[in-house]
Amino acid sequence: MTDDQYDDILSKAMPPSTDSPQEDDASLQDVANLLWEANQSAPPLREDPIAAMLGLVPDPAYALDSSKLKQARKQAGLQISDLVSRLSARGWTVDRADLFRWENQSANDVSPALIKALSEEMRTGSDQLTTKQPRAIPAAVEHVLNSPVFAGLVERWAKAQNVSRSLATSQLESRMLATVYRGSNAGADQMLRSLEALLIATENPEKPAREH
Amino acid sequence: MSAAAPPPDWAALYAAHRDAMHRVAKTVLRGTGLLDQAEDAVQDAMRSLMASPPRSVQKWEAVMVSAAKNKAIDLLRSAYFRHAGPEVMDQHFPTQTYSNLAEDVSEAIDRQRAAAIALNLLKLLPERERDVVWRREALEVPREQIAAELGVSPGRVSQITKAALQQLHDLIEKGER
Repeated sequence: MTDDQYDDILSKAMPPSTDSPQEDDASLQDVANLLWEANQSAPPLREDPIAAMLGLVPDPAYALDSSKLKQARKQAGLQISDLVSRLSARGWTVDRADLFRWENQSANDVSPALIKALSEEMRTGSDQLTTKQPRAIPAAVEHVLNSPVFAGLVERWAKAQNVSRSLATSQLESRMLATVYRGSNAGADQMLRSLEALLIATENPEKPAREH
Repeated sequence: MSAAAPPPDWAALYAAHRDAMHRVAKTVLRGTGLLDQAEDAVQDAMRSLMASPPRSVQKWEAVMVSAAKNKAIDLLRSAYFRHAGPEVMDQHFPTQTYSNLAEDVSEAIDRQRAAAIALNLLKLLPERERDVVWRREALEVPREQIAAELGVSPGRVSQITKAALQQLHDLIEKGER
């Protein structure tokens, strides 16, 4: 007799079990809920419009250059551990091995937002740390990128976020690509309206609070 | 003299806590027909936080989880208001006071930890139980489908699921002692 045959016989011999543990035991239902919750998470970075807006999606067109990073760190008089400490204090989860790898092997996975944080901690411009490589862009997005309206939005975003135009372009591009990757069929006008709404919502934040 | 606090690095904070924010929003909206709006709740929460950065934050995780939870509750309130009207709504969504807000945040974060522990302990279950309970409860695969794939009856799937939940429950309790 196989295990499955045994299971079926056992199942028929035992009183029917309800499908929901809730009817049997609230504590088991709670464990079931914990498993459901454990399976819930944010969408993949590439499909997350908030992550895109914040510059968390690595962008080949705005990639960290290993040799420029090393040079800038040395010019700033910082050890790798100093830079790790400063990034950690800002909330980034990085360690010495990450920094070492970015300087000596590959830095393709470093997001524009992290490049900005690195540049601020080394007191250099983020554009000084990057190298540009071409990337494939869907035609609908490319049309928007070439529009004067988009150029105006980039200017406003750069001002509102206090970032360079290159970084602003990368962030707004990623924001649009996130909607495209999620299967949205938004046209050029709708994409621009969506970006403008985002801008209006973030253009006039209150001043950061002072510590007492 | 007080010094200006540096502005929060929202990208770093969101990268660190985005899973927790989405998880709490989805948990609030589960079973209400609004689950697909959890991302909107998180997006609204981030916009609010960025527009009005909170003061003297001790624990960003708590602030961000709380913001996502509150936006999800706002969505529920709004949907309920449209459906039932203001009088009934007040009964079900009493105004949040500071103390129960703090309790809620603490509970939401404890919940995140408990879910992570449950996931970790799941690895200790035998493969068959582990697979069935994960697919049934976490992925919400219909028991009939699991039964067909395993070649057993749906009732047997429920038994395996319940036994696995009991084992997991015992492991969690053992860990807490």
